[in-house]
Amino acid sequence: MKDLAGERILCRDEAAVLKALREARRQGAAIVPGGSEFPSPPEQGDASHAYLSLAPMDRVLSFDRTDLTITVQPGMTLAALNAALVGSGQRSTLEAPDPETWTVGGLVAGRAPSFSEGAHGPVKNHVLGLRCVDGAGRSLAFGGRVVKNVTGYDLVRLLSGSRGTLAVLTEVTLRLTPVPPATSTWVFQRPADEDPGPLVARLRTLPYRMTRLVVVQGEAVGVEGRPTLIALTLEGAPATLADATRKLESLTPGGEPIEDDAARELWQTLLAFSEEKARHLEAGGAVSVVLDLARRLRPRMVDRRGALVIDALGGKLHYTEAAEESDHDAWWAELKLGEYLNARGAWAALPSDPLDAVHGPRRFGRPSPKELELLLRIRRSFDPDGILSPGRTAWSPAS
Amino acid sequence: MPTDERHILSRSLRHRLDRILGKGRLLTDAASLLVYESDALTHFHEPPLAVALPRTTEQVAETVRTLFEEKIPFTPRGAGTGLSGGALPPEGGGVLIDTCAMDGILEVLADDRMARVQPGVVNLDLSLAVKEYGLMYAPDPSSQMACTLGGNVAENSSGPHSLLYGPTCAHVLGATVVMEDGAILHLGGPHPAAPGPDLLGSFAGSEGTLGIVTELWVKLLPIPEAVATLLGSFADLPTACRAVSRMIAEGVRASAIEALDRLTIEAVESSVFAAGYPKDAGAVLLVELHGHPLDVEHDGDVVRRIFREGNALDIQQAEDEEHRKRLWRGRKGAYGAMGRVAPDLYVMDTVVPRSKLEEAIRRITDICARHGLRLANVFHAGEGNLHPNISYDRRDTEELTRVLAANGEIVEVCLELGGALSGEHGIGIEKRAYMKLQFSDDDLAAFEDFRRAWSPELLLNPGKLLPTPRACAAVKGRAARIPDGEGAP
Ligand SMILES: Cc1cc2nc3c(=O)[nH]c(=O)nc-3n(C[C@@H](O)[C@H](O)[C@H](O)COP(=O)(O)OP(=O)(O)OC[C@H]3O[C@@H](n4cnc5c(N)ncnc54)[C@H](O)[C@@H]3O)c2cc1C
Ligand SMILES: Cc1cc2nc3c(=O)[nH]c(=O)nc-3n(C[C@H](O)[C@H](O)[C@H](O)COP(=O)(O)OP(=O)(O)OC[C@H]3O[C@@H](n4cnc5c(N)ncnc54)[C@H](O)[C@@H]3O)c2cc1C
Repeated sequence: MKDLAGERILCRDEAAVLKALREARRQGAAIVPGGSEFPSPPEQGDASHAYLSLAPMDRVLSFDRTDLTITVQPGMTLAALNAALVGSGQRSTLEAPDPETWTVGGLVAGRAPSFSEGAHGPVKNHVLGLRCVDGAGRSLAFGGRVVKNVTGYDLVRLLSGSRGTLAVLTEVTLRLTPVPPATSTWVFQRPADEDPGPLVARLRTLPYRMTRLVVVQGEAVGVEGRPTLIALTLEGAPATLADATRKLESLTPGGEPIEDDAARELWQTLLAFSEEKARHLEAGGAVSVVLDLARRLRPRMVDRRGALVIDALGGKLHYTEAAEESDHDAWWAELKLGEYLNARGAWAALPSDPLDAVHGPRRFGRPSPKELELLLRIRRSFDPDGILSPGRTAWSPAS
Repeated sequence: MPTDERHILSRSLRHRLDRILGKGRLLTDAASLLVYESDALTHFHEPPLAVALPRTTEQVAETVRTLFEEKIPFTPRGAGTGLSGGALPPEGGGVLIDTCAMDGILEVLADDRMARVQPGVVNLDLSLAVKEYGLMYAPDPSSQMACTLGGNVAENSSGPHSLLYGPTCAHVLGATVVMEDGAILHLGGPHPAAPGPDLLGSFAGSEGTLGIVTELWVKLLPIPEAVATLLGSFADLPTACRAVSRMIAEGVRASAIEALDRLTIEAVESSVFAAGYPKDAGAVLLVELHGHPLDVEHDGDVVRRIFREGNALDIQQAEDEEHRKRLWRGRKGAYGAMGRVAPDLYVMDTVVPRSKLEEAIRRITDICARHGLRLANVFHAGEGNLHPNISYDRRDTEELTRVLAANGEIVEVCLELGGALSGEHGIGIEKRAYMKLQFSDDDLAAFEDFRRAWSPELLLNPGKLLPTPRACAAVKGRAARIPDGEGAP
């Protein structure tokens, strides 16, 4: 095989992945896996890295409604997965800013942005099994098609979120959930200077099945002077949602329901914001902590024409400012963010951390030396020569 | 190490451990050690060298550091209710580190629905403690009155209601872990998972082989507004299984779907656990729905329709809390009731895709009939998690041989149907030899590597979860005894 440096390798099946990784290992060439046909901006990285595209592996391998699970190839886009489930009464819990380009492999191995994590749990809770090829050139299978499984170590969870540094996923089995009988999305608009905390607290204790509860402040969705927006999604039987409607309308301040299409657009916009625009801070903590952090950030946000999006069920916060560039270290130090978050057991990431072009690792919550040592040992066991995505994360150093 | 070469605990080492743990907190006398020789899988026995009863993370860390220096293997232990031999002391002598005395609920953040707890907290006690806030801890193994949260994390335990809420790992946010060399590692915390590989998630279910949990952050959930409990009885178990498949395919949002077969019903109904199950039924399904009252009503209608269309002989719905408890009493007391049928009960644990439930049940029934064994089934049908229970008398070695042979065949059938070795009891020593049937050599090597990354000296609970060379030889030869079963009675 020719020199792999800078090459793009399109894989049609696991055998092709295996062949490419064994060859890369022989050559000592760095390989970065990805779901799209061409490396997109976040994955372009070092031009000497070969790009292993899983895009041609885009099929459903098995789907049985009585199992409530589906097995697919990693290059399948989220849009294609959703299309395969239409009419089945079942859905996956995966979300993405652009379902047409984000792939199952990328969502499982990389980041899976979501505003329903608080209700459904993170994506890794829904990955039941996978096949992969590791950096040592071994073809491996963990987990399975069953929904309950404690056989051996749970390496499915380890590989979920490992961002192409341990193995290349070649097959993924996902747990599905039933499509609810009815869904409704509500929006509350509140004055920009009102603290959203009390209303959020009231909404959180409503007795309905709430799958999203998000607070949007500032110019997140691109409209200047927008008031604070609180949006929520409810799921349940039609009678339950009718009951919820009466309840939500009678609340003061009241909210109003929005059409399904408008709701879809709102969530897509917020997902895109959280992934692509919120370049100044991402934090995760107890819901009370992220709401409090938002209060601390607000004056600065107003000053810099920024925006805040808070997932008030999942406990995450995304923040950005109008100016692309800012000296993060300086303003994080000024707000004593490190001390603040550490004292509350929360984590923060700078999405543009240079260690990983866009999807940076945690900054304050960066692995402790002991954790990093462990991650490095694990990485060496999967990828002894360090050919998979070197230099992309703290646990996959360039050399 | 070869089993004939036993480790010993020198007097000076005993003194050091005594100093770390405090007076009376290192057990070494034979009488005290006796109860620690087994867990709830009583076929296996192994005497520990000593049992340490630490009260703090620092005491665990110092104990471990000391044992690490002396290269003495050690095993964490909770309440000892495990059903795969996971908490058995290491073969060839080792120290048990029992975390039961670390039983404090340290912090409850009611608004944020989280709690910080020690590993020795008994599962049910946490739910009882947070009830006053309208909250509960969702994982509810049937042993919840005795088992500890540390043991639950190590086994990634589930309960009847994990159908809706998921297993333990979906409810653990953070853990303080003492590693093999005594280092203290903090994984996760009171926050949603941070980006990156999930070390905490892959620690869950590691059966005490990667580290010792000394503190946990767990998620709490609001107690559901409404609960409905329905009982459907059917002519036989395969018919009941078909109704389960329908419920899954139609998207019924049940929190539990449990199945009991005729033998179990008979045992329950003639015991103190009598629940009012129809005695002429070949199987019953116990279905529970949690949620808003109107949602529960909606799903209840769907369940009743599926029961009717699935030829249910009888349908009951609990009318009040008392009735609901009675229906569950039969399910929860099933093992106790079966104890009356024969002196011993082998509780097996395998899992199949839900589309294969009916076939699995038919084939398991055939296997037991062929071996002339008395089979009772009580299981988590909604998750495809089977518990074929075989009544036997351990003093009858010929019968025990047949029980173990049937176990091996049942495991093979479940794997052939696309299932897995264990849904909730773990591998321990019970199933380690079968790992070769489910995983390739490369998969097993990856597991070994993963274990060594955490525990390079393999001092942490050695001999559990992964096959040992002898165990593999036993299963390849299809010996009709517990694989690697030198501990068998
Ligand atoms: C700032 C920004 C700008 C963007 N600009 C554009 C643009 O100009 N044009 C465009 O088309 N799209 C653009 N996108 C979207 C684009 O990058 C992808 O659509 C998106 O990253 C999802 O692709 P993917 O899901 O296949 O995951 P990827 O981005 O390919 O992968 C995510 C992570 O998972 C790893 N990974 C992926 N698949 C596997 C696998 N099978 N096994 C192991 N690891 C795997 C990758 O190595 C990576 O670490 C942009 C995204 C961002 C954040
Ligand atoms: C009647 C009965 C019903 C049961 N029902 C269920 C059920 O419905 N669902 C289910 O999943 N299980 C069930 N079990 C099995 C058992 O109760 C669970 O596996 C439970 O989680 C074990 O907890 P324990 O505290 O007893 O742990 P032990 O049995 O003491 O230990 C189990 C494993 O955990 C490890 N361990 C214990 N404490 C720690 C710690 N602090 N740190 C690290 N590792 C540790 C041990 O080394 C061992 O490998 C049942 C058992 C019985 C007897």
